[in-house]
Amino acid sequence: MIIDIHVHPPAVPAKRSLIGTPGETAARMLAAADRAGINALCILGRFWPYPDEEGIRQINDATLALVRSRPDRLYGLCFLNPTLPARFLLAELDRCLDAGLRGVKLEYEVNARDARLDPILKKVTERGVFLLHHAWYKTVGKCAHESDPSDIAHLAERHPRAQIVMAHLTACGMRGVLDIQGFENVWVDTSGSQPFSGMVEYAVNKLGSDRVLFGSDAPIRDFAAQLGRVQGAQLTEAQRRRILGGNAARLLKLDAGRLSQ
Amino acid sequence: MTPGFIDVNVSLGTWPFMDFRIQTAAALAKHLAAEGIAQAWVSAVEPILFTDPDVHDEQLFSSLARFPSLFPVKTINPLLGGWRASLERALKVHRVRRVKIHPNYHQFALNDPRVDAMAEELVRRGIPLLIQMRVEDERNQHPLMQVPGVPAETVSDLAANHPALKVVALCAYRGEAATLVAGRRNVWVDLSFIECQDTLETLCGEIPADRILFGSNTPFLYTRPAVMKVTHAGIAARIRTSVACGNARTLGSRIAPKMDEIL
Ligand SMILES: [Zn+2]
Repeated sequence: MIIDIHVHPPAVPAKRSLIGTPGETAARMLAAADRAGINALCILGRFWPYPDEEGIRQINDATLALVRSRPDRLYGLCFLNPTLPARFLLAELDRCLDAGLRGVKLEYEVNARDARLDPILKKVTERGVFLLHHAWYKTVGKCAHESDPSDIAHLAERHPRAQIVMAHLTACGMRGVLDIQGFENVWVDTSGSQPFSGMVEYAVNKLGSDRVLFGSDAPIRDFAAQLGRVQGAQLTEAQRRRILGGNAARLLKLDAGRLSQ
Repeated sequence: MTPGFIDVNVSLGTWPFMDFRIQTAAALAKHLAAEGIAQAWVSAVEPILFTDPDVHDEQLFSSLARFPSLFPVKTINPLLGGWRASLERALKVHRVRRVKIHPNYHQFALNDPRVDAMAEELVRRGIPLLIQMRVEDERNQHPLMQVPGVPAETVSDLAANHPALKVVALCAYRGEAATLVAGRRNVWVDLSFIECQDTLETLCGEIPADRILFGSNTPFLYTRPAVMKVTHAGIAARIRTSVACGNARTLGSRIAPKMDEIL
């Protein structure tokens, strides 16, 4: 079973909505995933930057609607903007987790070193879910507050029992892998930049194949091409299975029946 | 499976910021064959940074000689004195039929008269010009080695000024493809750096399918992602085949086969 941990919902940011109805959008996403042979998708939310409280609810409702339209193949994360009041953020996170979302997504509204992430991470730890956090080492074009892997390491050190997935292996590079190597509570997804050869093997060598997850960053990227990074890497079949689905299944808490498929 | 890919974007050598697993022509030939690639156009990596391309090109050409699927590409820096002699030797001795330039790393503009002189020479000899738009994702470059990509408009202008020159832009981004190809019958792009959902279907809606070449940028990038952009594309088999090999074959049709007598 192949699970993609990093998928953005196809949305029209100006309209603040999905491209079609939840059912149409889900069908469109799954048709593209099917062409690449990907079985399940984890949807990250966020159609536009710095959403306010109403916007956050809108985004998470859309993710919930997508997931409910295909509960057999779609999973979702609660998107939060940590500049908003903690009271709202924690209530929204509880609402989304109670409704069936599987964790939290944070982008670059706030840097991972910022104390405003701490209550969210506390809740992530308490509820035993995971956080997927954007990260990139950028020489040029860095957004304000954007986190790099050293910021993710800082967050992991503050919250050693929180499960954290650092996005974008090939954009974090070797330096990024080394930043998180000592933090057993941090995973990395395979997306980002270009498919630089050797990076998947390098991450497996430094972190172990238990801490590397397939993520595509679709629809910004191509499901099949992204899968090619893992399929084209020199791995054992057991390592490849863990990266393509086994590790994600554990983080998403998929039941054993789904795992065996 | 789409058989017999022609990969127009392959390198051999070492790059200081990466650790290539493929170190020899034998390993490269074996790897590409396993990925379904029947023919690859291979240039040396070192001339990107090393002053005289001949030093590493000579090693490249002799190492490729035993592998009929690996076609050598000569790197030229038209700002260097002696490039004509260097090209002549590559053509005569090593039967090279493809030339690559790195305008950004070698610090010349494509409207430099020395580029025009080289372009005229390549037209005269029926040799296509491969232009490496970039080597790395600019966002991830070493802070002390930031090298911007080659401006797409300047490639398009060069092609306009030399309509008989066949120009292949390697490692262009999707956003540059239309600028490169629009209004030009002599410009092609490779797939290696172009990616979006359903890459090939989308790109075919933006530029003519007959201008798209299969390029993997091996060993800088994994080979498989480029292969899967083609094999998994929801598009007519005829177009998949054109991109995989047909377009490159057409582009090279006036190029003498590797083993033929030339000049
Ligand atoms: Zn993303």
